Amino acid sequence: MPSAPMVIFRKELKDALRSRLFLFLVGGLCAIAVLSLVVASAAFRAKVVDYQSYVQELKQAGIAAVPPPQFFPLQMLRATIEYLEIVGAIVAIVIGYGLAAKEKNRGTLRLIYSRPISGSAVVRGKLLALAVIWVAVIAVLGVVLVASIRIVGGTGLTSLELTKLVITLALSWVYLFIWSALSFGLASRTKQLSTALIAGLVLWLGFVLIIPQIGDTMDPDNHVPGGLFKSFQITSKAEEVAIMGHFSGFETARNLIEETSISKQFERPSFAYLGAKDKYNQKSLGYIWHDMWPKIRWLLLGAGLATALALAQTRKRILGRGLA
Amino acid sequence: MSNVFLVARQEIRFALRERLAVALLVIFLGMAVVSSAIGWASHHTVTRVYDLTVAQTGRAIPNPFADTSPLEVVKNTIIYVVLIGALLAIVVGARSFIRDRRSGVTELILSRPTSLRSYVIGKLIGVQAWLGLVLAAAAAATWIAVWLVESAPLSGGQSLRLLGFFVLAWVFLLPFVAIGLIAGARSGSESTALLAPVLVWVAFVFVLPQLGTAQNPTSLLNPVPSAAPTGDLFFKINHAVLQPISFTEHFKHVAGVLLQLRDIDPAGAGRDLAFLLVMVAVSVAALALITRTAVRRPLYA
Repeated sequence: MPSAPMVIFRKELKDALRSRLFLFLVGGLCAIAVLSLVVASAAFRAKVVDYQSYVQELKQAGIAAVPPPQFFPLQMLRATIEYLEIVGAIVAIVIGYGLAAKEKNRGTLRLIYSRPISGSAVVRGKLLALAVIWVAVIAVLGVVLVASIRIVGGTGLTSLELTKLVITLALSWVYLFIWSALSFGLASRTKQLSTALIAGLVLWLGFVLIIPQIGDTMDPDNHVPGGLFKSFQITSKAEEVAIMGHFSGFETARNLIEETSISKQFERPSFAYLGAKDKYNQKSLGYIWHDMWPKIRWLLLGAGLATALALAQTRKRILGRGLA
Repeated sequence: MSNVFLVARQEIRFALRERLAVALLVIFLGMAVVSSAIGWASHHTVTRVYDLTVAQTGRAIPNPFADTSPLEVVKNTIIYVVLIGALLAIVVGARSFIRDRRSGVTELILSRPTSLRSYVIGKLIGVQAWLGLVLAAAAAATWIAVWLVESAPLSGGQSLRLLGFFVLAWVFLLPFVAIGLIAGARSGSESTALLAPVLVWVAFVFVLPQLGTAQNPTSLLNPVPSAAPTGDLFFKINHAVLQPISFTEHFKHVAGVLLQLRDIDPAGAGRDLAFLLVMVAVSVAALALITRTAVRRPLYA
């Protein structure tokens, strides 16, 4: 006979497959991912057209041509990752919220508690279901992305690129699970369900949009179109670092602000593996891992905290708050 | 008409009592002040970077920050209106109907000699009036914050520009209030009533501008509106089709012109304002989607 958490787990999987809202949200997420790839592909085409007209002008002026823009398929996924950061987190909040809200709303939590099942078993079963649901969604997304790169980008992925994509998707799984577990914890705890949803959205607004935006605003290089240092004709990174060394306090404050955002801890390693940052493009897995492990560690810590928050709601009295 | 004002007055009372709406109000006011401080700190640091670079390299580079408006330090407020202000408008709009439907007040009001139209318009006026109070407080807080960080008060002309910006923000938030009201009135559950308008907001802030400009989603959090890339038919068509309805980009442009931001080209601001006003008119007309049958449906959590 299956254990109580496994019964809850199986029920959640069935519920997810039957839920039109869940299928709509996941379908929408995949559609946005494909759309962002189409846009990235068109943007690259536009870049090539610009390059060709630039080369023509250089030829007419008798100047040697500059190298053409290079195509790296994983770089096309930059906007997809940003959408996962923003829209994916909302979807995760709604899915996590739904896991607690539907039981309170339908009164099924009372029914479950009439059986010899502990609050802890309910929460563990639901968290396990969340983890598996996100594995399935990420797997579907991965297949959609590889197929889209093939169709839209007109190229396949090498085994190294595929490995990097799998690592990025694994990071996406951790990030989305964090938001779902957090939202589930909030919905379990609050008496008024819509308050949990709004609280989740406020946290999302702060950590996903506002904190990274403050960090970007504080970056001196973002204050001049094309970059502050380029406008000063400073192209050497060493020279830039030497100047910014005089403003270490400001830079530390800016970094600290950015580091508090869980979405930045997800974004930086993801961009590194996808080669969205030139520094990491075409680099080995070991090189990227060495640089990105501290960020990944924070991401894993975030997952641990969100899980702990959800597990802390295992008492029947807490889980039953707000029951009609 | 008196019924409209009765409903509006009740809306303001509820908004002032609701803890989440008040929490969002505090966040918004806080960010308006923080925006000035961040703007000043960044501007101050960049100027010092410029001075140091000129001293170290000996290059005669024009100061990119010479002659900028003191309102430049509040430019982040533009994006806070798009992010926090819009979310506030959606939440207050949606909760307005959720509250009435859940408590059965809707049934009671509609059993009286009050038309549905008066009821809906009263709610719109009430929520907009409350947002007007929030924005007036934010405008005063910003004016004082700029005075403190710049060590000089804004001139009469600059104060009028700041006021104009907050009036524009008030107009810009109306479609989000309307979307929130429609979702709150028509949805079968509270979560859908809150989620649906947030997804519409995501579409207007990120998806539509990205399709027409190729900007990455997080780049769209820049207070400066995005320019369309040239050379590709895909973007030319998208830009032509989607640009008129990308009203968050129109707001960013007109707001940038009002605040005299350095990187903003004033050309086309009148057209963008017109597009924005059309979106406002369309969203008010869309309130007709709120029907008696819809608001009487049971509401689940």
